[in-house]
Amino acid sequence: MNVLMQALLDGICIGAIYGLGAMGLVVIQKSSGVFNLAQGMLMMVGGFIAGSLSVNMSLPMWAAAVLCMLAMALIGLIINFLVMRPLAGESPFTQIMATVGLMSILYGIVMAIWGTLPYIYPTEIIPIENIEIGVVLLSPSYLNGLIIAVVACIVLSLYYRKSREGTAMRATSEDEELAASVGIRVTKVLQLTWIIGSICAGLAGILFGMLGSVNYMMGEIGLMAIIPVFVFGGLESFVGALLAGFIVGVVNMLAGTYLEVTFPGITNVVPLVLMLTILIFKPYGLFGEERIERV
Amino acid sequence: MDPAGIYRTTYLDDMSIVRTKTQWTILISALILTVLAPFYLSKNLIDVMSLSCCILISTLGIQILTGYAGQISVGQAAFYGVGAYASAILVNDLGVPFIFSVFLSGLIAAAVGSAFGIPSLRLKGFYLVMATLAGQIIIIYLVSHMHFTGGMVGHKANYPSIGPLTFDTGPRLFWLNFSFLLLMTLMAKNIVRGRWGRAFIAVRDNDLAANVMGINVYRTKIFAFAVGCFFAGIGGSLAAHYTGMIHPTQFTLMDSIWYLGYIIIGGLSSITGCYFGVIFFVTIKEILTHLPVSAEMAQYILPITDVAFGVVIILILIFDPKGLNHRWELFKGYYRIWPLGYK
Repeated sequence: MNVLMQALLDGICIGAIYGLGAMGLVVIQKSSGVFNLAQGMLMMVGGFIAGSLSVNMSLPMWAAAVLCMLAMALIGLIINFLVMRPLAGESPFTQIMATVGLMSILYGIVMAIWGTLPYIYPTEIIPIENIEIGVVLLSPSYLNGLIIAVVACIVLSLYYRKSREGTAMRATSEDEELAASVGIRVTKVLQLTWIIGSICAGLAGILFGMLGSVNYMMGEIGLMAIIPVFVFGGLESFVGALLAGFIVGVVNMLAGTYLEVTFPGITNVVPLVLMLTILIFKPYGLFGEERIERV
Repeated sequence: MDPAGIYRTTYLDDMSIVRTKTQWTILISALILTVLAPFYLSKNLIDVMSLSCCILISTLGIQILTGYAGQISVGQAAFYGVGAYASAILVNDLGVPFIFSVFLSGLIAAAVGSAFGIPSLRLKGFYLVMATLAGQIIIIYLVSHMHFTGGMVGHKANYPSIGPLTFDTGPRLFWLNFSFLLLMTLMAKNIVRGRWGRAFIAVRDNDLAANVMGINVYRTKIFAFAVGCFFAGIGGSLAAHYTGMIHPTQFTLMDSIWYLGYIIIGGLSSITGCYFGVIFFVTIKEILTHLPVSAEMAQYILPITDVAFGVVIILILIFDPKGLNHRWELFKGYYRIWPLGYK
């Protein structure tokens, strides 16, 4: 029973981090219809930047996180300026292919700068002590993930609903040409989405790295972790991404607790099997609009 | 673009792959030169070429799926792996003759691929990307943990033999792989210029219009995906028997990404483009890995290859989306009227 409770709580915390990563995908999917394959690599870059700042330059973790977010914003800006903007207006097919190239570039850069050595860094951005609820123990790195991801989700949702830029983004996601004709600068909106997407990825990367270490495998593992969340959450909803994150995280932790002993390494595979099942029965996810067309 | 003086009077003539006497001459001399390659090229180069043949067969598959039918798959390396493992197990453990196991492993790869593809191919949009990503991870997980695949130790694969012939030397393996490459190229060419190929293009360009024309979109997509996986399986099977030892780390996600890169660089929707893409990148990779650099620099070579690969993909997408094959066509159009070109 304790084990079960522990797995559930840990799962919710990990799931929140997955949800944060998936929100980055949602932002980009919403406004340009592009599935960003490089999201996992962006997470890894974020993790490594924060790792260098806190381990090599011995900055406090919160400062490293803030600087990392700034750096990720810059990376998002560069990606948009050099890659996505010249391709704006091309079919999503072409743009997805461009993210394939991006994936390879980011992977190469990470391998060249940081190599295959893992970074282990402080486990908390917000200083929290271990919290004990009955017999269940919540460690600071998990709680940090939960708090930051939930806050990010609320902020993003409000930003999309209430702010001027958010409205512009929603308009662009509905119809680019119509948005342009009412005076919205679509290129600026796309730029903003790439910046937000990269920041989400960076933050998720830091939190993901806190659970263990940041290493060169994180690009793949991170992508595999957030894709089921993305599909389950219905591709276009922040709250959906967060809640789907909880579900996937719990499934992940349950698999880790009960199946890992008999089938080592299955933890990362179970959510993907779940995703394939979802694609059969409920392809628009939990919170997606039911405008998916079957052929 | 044909040279002047070539008239075609029948449909069959117009659909022919080799059209003029010059093309026949070039094709036959190129074939002879390639077949005789082991006699005048170094052993290392022949090894690279043998493996490139397997990769090319798999690239033909993803060209049909992604280039012609417009469905993005990021699991080609995993299906290549399915073919490799299937063939290794069939030949080594079950004693199936090589010639059957090649095609059987192609079919097995197609079946496994379809199992992953069917749910997402029903949906509009790019769900196949996510499903094949999942497939990539699940397949590699399974082969590295199953008992009969040898797990993380890997699986042995004997040298291929057909009847009394055993292909156990470099040149012989090269000839085997190359003849399979020719066979599969002919097959790919015939698929894409026939009824199915036209259906693929119709589905890619506008699935609604294709549906109105009487094409069963769902079935066409599944067929494209199965064909893509079949080619991957055949390539993988040849690669397994060529290398002799297969291991889960040979079929990674980044390899799948490379397959997409090959067809982007070579040119989407062109069988010749596959050749250009693979040859271009294998050449670059070989040059970079054989650069005489210090040991300190050597660790940067692989990352630089990755970065160069990504940069080339993006540059091609932005500036020349039709790829190298289009350049080749332009060049052909140019030399046909040379030196009397008009401005």
